[in-house]
Amino acid sequence: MRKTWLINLTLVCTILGILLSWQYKSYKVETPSATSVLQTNIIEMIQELEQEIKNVEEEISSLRSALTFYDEMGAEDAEKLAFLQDYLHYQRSMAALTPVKGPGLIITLDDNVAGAQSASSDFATFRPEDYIIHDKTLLYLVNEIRAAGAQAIAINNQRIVATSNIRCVGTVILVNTTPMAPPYQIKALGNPEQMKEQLSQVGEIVYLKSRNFPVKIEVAEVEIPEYKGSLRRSHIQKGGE
Amino acid sequence: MNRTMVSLAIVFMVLGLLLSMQFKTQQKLLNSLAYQDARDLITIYHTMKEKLDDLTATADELRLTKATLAVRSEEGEQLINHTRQEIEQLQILNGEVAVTGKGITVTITRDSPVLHYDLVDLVNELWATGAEAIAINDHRITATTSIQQYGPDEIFVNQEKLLFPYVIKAIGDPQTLEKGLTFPGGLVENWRILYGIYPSITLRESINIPAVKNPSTSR
Repeated sequence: MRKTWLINLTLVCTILGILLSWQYKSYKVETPSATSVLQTNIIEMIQELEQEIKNVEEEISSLRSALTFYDEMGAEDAEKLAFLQDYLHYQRSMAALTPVKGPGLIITLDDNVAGAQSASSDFATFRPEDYIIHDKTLLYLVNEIRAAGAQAIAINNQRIVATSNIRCVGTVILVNTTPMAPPYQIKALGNPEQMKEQLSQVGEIVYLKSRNFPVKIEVAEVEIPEYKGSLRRSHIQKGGE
Repeated sequence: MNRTMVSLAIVFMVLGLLLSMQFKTQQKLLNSLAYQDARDLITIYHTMKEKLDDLTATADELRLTKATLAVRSEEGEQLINHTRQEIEQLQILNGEVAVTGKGITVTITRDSPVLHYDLVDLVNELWATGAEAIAINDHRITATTSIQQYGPDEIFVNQEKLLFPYVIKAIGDPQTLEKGLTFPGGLVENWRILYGIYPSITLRESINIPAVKNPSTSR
């Protein structure tokens, strides 16, 4: 009885001893020994690399999401811009900043040179101003052409816009402050028959014809250039009513 | 016998504990770099270095693309803003929006023998002296506006009859606009001497002019 116990204990202690030594060996391997300084250095380098790789990977992921953001925004901007540019083009055409082409009238006015020559012999009654085209004639005619439904007008290819003015300095007529000389060719885009009829009934054309001025009205395909002047705006703001 | 059992139990417990500890340690060692030999470690290092180089190159490329896109996006935004501004300016010019600013008003009362020609002259004179927007009785003057007359005191702007008093509003530099009308030999003097029209001109710090009622059909 006593002997058996002793054997048992010896067996257990032996196993215990083996296990302990094994554990100790493992522990020893884990701690750097003099021969593995190289290994330790490489391990450190590898660990540094690991950290660097992790950092770069994180940066790449954040860059990729930024690119996606820009892509989406770019697409949105492109869409917005396309819409705005369409609308801008429409506004530009409304503001006479684009050339137009279509059916219309070409009205040609000239000074009454023949009339002036035959009348000039009589110094007492000759008034040269009765035989020339005046700025007011053009101004009122433009107003009448607008009333007749023209959608675009030009005098000697100077496009008439909302802010256009027609004046004279001496005997020179200025349209959009551009000097003009006779003959004056007025192009009007719009329904030719309607405009021709309305202009022939009353107004400047009727007056000029009655005074024997050379007046020519042609129905034609007209090409009217864009307004090339400046668009001043320094006192005005959107707003108010 | 009882004592034997207790001792044995304790011994086995310790045994179990040791075994499990050993297993864990062994597991850790197998995965640990320290367990690899130097040659393998160098191979691992080179593989990882290559990977890092690849990743760095990719990151550089992406950073460049991002910078380009950022510039483009900025430009896109600027272009959008610029286009918006241009549209707004044209809307003002086309009379599509109400406008406000300094300017003058010219008022013509019922007793004036005014013809539509006089209003055409007045509008022309105001444009010539730098008006930026004009309205007659709040009818905005645009590229297609016509002023017509069908009888005495029957003046129509854009096919709508004007009622007295005629109030012409013009936005622009008030002094310049006024001088453009009142200089010797100018429009106001002509009106007075030739037609007996006596307009009253007022310089104003703020004038509001509404948008056109029917959008114009000009092209």
